Amino acid sequence: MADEVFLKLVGIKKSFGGVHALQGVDLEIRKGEIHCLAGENGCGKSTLIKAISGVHIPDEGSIRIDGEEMKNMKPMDAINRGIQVIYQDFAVFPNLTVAENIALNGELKDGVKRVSWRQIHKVAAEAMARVGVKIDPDIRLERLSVANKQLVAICRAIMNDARLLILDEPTTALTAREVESLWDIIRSLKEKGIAIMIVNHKLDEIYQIADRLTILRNGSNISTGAISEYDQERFTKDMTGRDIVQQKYQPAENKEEVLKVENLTRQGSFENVSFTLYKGDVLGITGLLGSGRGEIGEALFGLAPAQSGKIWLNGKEISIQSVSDAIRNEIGYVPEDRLTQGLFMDRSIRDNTIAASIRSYLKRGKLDEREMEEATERWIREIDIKAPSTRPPVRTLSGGNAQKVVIAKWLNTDPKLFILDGPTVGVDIGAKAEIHSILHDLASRGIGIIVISDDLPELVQNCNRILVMKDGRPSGILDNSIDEVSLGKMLIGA
Amino acid sequence: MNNKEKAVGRRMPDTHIMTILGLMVLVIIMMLIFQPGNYFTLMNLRSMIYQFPEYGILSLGMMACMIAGGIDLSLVGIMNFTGVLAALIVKNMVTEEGGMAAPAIILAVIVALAVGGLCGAFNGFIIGYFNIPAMLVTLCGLQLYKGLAYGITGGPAINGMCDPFKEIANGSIAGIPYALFIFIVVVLIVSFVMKSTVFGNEIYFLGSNAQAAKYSGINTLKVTVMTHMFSGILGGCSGILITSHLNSAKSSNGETYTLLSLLIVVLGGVHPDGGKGRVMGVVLATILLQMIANALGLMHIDDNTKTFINGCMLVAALLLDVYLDKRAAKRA
Repeated sequence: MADEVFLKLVGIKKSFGGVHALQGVDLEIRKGEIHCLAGENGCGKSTLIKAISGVHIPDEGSIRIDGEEMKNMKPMDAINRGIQVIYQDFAVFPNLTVAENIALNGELKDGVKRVSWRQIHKVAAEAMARVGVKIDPDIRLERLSVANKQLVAICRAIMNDARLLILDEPTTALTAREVESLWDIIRSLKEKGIAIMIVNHKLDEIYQIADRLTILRNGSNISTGAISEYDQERFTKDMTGRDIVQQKYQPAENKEEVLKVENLTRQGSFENVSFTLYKGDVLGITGLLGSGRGEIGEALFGLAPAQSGKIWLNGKEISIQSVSDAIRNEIGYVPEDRLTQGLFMDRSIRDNTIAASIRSYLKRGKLDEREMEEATERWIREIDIKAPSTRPPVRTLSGGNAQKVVIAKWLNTDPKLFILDGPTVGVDIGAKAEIHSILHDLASRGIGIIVISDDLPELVQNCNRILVMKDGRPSGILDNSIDEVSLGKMLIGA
Repeated sequence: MNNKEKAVGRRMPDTHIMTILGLMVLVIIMMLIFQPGNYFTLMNLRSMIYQFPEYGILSLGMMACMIAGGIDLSLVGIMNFTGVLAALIVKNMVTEEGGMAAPAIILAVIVALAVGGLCGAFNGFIIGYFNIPAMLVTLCGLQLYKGLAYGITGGPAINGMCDPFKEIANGSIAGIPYALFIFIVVVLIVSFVMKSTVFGNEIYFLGSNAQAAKYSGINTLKVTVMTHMFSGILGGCSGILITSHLNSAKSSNGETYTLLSLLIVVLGGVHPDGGKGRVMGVVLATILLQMIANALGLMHIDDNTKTFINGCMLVAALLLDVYLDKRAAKRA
């Protein structure tokens, strides 16, 4: 059964008003295999998923599901043939209960006019048993963790007789442990003969789970094959089209203090956090979700200020009780959630770039448009934001370029301390490397850089010191001679 | 995906402004057919100009609040409350022979603008500090300020202000009403504030994404309070105009203006979700609405029917927004 093809795409092409999103993609998904689809942002992954699920009708090429040629496939046709997509936002209903979320869709699809609550509970229990998860069916979705929401979405998909389950970047918001249990579930679904396609671009995760891998670049498939045929080098090369040499960041020895934090405490978040950041240092802060890693950044930026402890920036003791204190002390902060906290999606690149520094453009009672324009153009050049001009809304940019705009917003304030929470989440490999080199460059110029992340390879490669948090307490400061496997073990306290 | 970015980067002609200009032409054609003799006269033109500044200025306040992601339904309440205060001051300070008129009017204007600003700041504080939706707070505000105005007058209107006060909205120079000059000055000030000040830009940031604004170091409470204060000041400005225009102040003047100003801002391209909108669109929509109201008046259509027609147009304008959003989403 393993070699039977469930889905076969040949020469799929799709353009949107002159933009060739897909330029002839072939893809073959076999029954009961776990197939990873990888590629940089903007390579056409999303368009491909939409073509498979019937949202977009391809301009050219053929789609065969289980040997049946599909013409003008509508979303309903795809669903009826067992194709289920779980998008990043899961499309669940936060105000409904777990049971309702799992079962209501099916009920509605069957055209049931009156809803039987007993039936809904039965269906939900059955689905959860099949997938192997245990969640209270009466709890409302909004109260669940991201991982559990995802499981509910998977249960719902299974309930609708999924034969091919497509997961769009399922691990971005999960902790290491949650990713493990997700993989267990995926493997058990595979045992049941369900084909799984996972969009992902973290190689270590792909290794853990995938049977086969397809890499897309610029709307064409570059390579496809069994996972054993890929090593880090080939993977990176196929993804980006160039060789990216990875080298651990090692600044020159320097004892000039940039930031010193002593016994920083915020009840319920973190306790007694102390560290010193020297010129040139990139300090990583890591830990599991809820370990207090993110809260340290929020405290230093005044969003949820620390209650006790001392902070020195460039030798001067400062107090940070609010965001305006942080701004006054020239601290910049790239928040974890780029879309809701970092960017004004509908506003232009220029507006986003000057959002935190707008006051400095006030010249004789009037904002100087020209200078704002020039500053934005300068950042577009300097950190290589791929955009035709300063005008397009940030919504039109890819993840990596959007993140560079958030970075530009703070660089434009000329910060002395720059804190980044998850700076490369959802950013493709190429842009990731560029963002890291921007940070290294800033550090060498004496700007304090703190990177908060759970991306262990990222930390090991790019930070010369790493603070590990566990249950709100620092459990050690390491240099980057550690490898990511032992760092991972340290996180969970093993 | 460079091509796609280029396509979006090209500047599209503003659909709302095109729509408004189109509708203006339509009104003119209709009137050419039905009422050529009455509509296209200098007198009719002047009667139009006397009317629209008072609600045009209200609409600018509505616009600022809506761009900030909120709404200001209390504007008519502020207008009447400040109007009553102004009338009271003028009535009591000016002597029988018309003495003390100038200081009385200046004081009335200052009080109206200051009280308008205070009312707005109160709205803004409740909204921003307690995080209550602007829709609810300002709807309560409408009743609150109306109640205050009623409390002062006790019901009947305050009438018979001195002549110089009446002149503000009814006088003219070289055939051009003062009200038009006032409107133009207000429009210029509001344009400047929205485009060229830190405050104006922060309004757009707040409306685009309140959370990102906070994470960018913008004091969102302050901007919310200031936006509503700005709106309240404009409400006070309208209070002076309508009181002078009608030579009468009471708690229930211009009650159709709430709906009308909503219609104007939505038609003028201010997005109900906030973050988008331009003064130009609002000004053009104000003029269009006056042209329509005037045309309906000439065709002897009564006020209730006019309100009904305005309501229909508001629904249509909202649907137009939905359609434009969808089209934009498709292109992106």
